Amino acid sequence: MNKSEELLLLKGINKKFGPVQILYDVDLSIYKGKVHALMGSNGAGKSTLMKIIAGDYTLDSGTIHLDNQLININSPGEAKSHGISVIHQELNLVKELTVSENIYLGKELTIGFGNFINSKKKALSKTKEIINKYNIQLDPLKKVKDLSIGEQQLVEILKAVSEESKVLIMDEPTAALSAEETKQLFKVITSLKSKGIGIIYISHRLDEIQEICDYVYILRDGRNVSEGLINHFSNERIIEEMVGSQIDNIFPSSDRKKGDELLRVEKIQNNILRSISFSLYEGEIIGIFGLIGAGQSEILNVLFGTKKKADGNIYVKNKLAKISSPIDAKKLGLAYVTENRKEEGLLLELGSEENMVLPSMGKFSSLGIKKQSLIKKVANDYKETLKIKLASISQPVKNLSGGNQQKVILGKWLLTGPEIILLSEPTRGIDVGARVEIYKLLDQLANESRKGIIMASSDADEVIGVSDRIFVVFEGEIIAEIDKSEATRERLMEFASGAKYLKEGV
Amino acid sequence: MESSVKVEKPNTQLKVDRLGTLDLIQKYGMVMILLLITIVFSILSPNFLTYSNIVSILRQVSIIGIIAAGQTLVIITAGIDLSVGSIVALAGIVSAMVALGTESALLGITAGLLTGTLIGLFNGILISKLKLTPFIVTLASMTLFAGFALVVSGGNPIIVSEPLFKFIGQGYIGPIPFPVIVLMFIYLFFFFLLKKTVHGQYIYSIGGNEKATILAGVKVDIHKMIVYATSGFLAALASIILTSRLSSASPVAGAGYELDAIAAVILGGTSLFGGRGNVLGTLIGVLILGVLTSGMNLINVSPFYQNIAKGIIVLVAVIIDRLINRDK
Ligand SMILES: Nc1ncnc2c1ncn2[C@@H]1O[C@H](COP(=O)(O)OP(=O)(O)OP(=O)(O)O)[C@@H](O)[C@H]1O
Ligand SMILES: [Mg+2]
Repeated sequence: MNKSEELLLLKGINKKFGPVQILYDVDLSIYKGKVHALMGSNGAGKSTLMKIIAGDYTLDSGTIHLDNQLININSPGEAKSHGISVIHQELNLVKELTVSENIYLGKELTIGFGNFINSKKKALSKTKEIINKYNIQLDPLKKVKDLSIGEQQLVEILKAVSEESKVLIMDEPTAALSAEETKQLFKVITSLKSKGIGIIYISHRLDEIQEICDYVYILRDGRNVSEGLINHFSNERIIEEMVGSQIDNIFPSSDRKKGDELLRVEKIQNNILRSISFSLYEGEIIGIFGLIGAGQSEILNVLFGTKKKADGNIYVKNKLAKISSPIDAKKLGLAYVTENRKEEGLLLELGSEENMVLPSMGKFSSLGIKKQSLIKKVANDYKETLKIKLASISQPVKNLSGGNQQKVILGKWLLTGPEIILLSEPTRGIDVGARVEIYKLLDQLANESRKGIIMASSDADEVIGVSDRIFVVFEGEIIAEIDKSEATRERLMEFASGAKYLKEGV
Repeated sequence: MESSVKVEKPNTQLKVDRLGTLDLIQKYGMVMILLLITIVFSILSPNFLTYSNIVSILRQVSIIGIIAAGQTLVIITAGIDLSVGSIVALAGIVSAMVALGTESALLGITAGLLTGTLIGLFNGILISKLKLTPFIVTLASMTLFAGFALVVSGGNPIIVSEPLFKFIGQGYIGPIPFPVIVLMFIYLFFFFLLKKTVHGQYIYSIGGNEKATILAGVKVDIHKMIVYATSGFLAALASIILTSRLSSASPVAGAGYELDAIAAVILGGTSLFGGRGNVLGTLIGVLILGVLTSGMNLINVSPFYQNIAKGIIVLVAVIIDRLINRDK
């Protein structure tokens, strides 16, 4: 690309956390009006590098040039004043404030004598302007806590674009977005590009990279391994460079045989769900597909006792099961890998060891005393099995990369020795290599360990690749059951959007 | 340019200390402050670093120390217990009255401990079952049980001089005052509890992320109730030591103790947001406050200034805590 179009230039960036070096001499050039993919496995150092640019972390050595000027970035404020905006992997919104209050937080629009008065009206009309400009569906007066995760993500994006940015960093912006919301985002990105903004785009979804990015950087273990124009990088090549070896089959293709019935659900209802009935068998993986908010996670919530059902019955191994709390569910041999890592999954301040044994303390203690060495050993074993990348099993999990956090949660539930495993968006934010391992693991659990698995996911390819049967949920109802052999992405989408349903009047 | 530099994975698996360096700085930071003020006072007053003064400091801090141990557990669960001062008052009155009425110190002590435990349980039930915030529940019971203490006693102190009762606050085992032995025992016990037991693990988990802990199928309600009951029990135990030392129970005893206990916990590095902390830190915090009080008394600082000094120390500690956490 044209040197004169160069906007941001990072050279020889090194970063250590304590004794552990995360980034080694990393270089990165960002050009005007281009979208740059930053690819790498979980823990490769992508977010760390971005946080250095954003002023959250300070670099140990290396230089940053913006418009050919050497700059120092020591705080988020400084980054902002240089025109660098970030949409972080974790959402940073004030839940009790409205959309427009959040967008103008810290840069309130003031009026009156001495600019003393915070004009919410002005912020509101500006917000509406932006919303209209990018053609986004969003009520600016809604409180953020009432928005879906996808909508909250859009607010983050609006917050960033409402500033006069030169460089915009998006760290896995689509991890929680529905297909529709992703489309909206891409429209926004295209129009930002045309304004000459340089964009850094991090994602583990390869087709997105192919669709929206112009240039690719690949990091492995904190080092540059490869870079170039996107048209030189096929998905296979990207994966190979990220992982360091080739991956042939993303989805395992073992021949699973159904066994006895493990779980039967009869006419479950509540304020979201409408008459849900199905059975799950040993050695089977059921995929539940639906647009975000269609009710697929609600089914799992009811099964695990975190949400109440108004009506209907659940049978575990042909026995009527009373599940009114996770305690009941766990006793019946259920495990639930929730989708919201930070809020529902992890004890952020504690180590992965403590996180993993939490639900199975009974097994790892006698007379109320923890069996420390057993816990250490088992946690280390799981760290190996799941290939969790961390400095030590007692390192607080808040310092792990997103994908590794997800593996800790998986490990925690596998440790309970469940018979029925519920998973919600199990590979959100997880890199391809790890994803393949998780798919393999799910297959093994079903095939060899004869577990029954229900996986809710909004990733159609994943649902098709992993499941034996797929239920499509629309407005709280299972409107289609599709066998793996007949499932295509298009069919799933058609049902999930309600198009098929409404057309055929099923 | 299309380089494909294939580098072998560097060894980044260096062992990070279990506590993390920052925790260590913070922990030792407080030990440093303790040493520093000890040195300052020993220079200012020749009587400071004597055996009898050290023993007297330890005996003085034992009451707040015992309360602060319970408060530590509560704060690690991201809660707070403001009712401990009132428990000190009421449990003292109850145990004195029962001891007088039945002429049995043992019954009196049991009644006092039971009172504290039940009040703690009451707090715990309201907090975990009705999902009320700990601040509000314990603020209400602080007022409520302070009132009870006045009503039950008619507002008058109650004298107890039963020998066994007296021993608890005034007796010695060898050269060491009995309350100091109780204090040491309590801290060892809770150190062990937090580190080695499942209940201890759950205390950290609840404070770290209550939702995740519930989802892990842990009986969070029960563990919270136990924590508040423990805090109530320890406050009652402290109350009995206090009553015994003064040979009388006062309905207004213990006023403000909750604040001293909380201050000690914070000085000890336990996070008010929950999920982080330990009792050893609290013990250091308790000692810092005790050394300050004793030292300032020895060099005749007026009580007005003593409060100012204590306030400053607590602020400094919180600022250190803040600075360290910002870096994390
Ligand atoms: N504050 C921190 N203290 C210690 N280690 C950290 C800290 N932040 C990140 N790390 C470590 O640095 C490494 C890189 O993490 P980073 O979040 O940059 O990965 P990533 O490439 O963004 O991964 P992902 O795709 O999972 O988001 C990880 O091994 C992580 O454990
Ligand atoms: Mg990341």
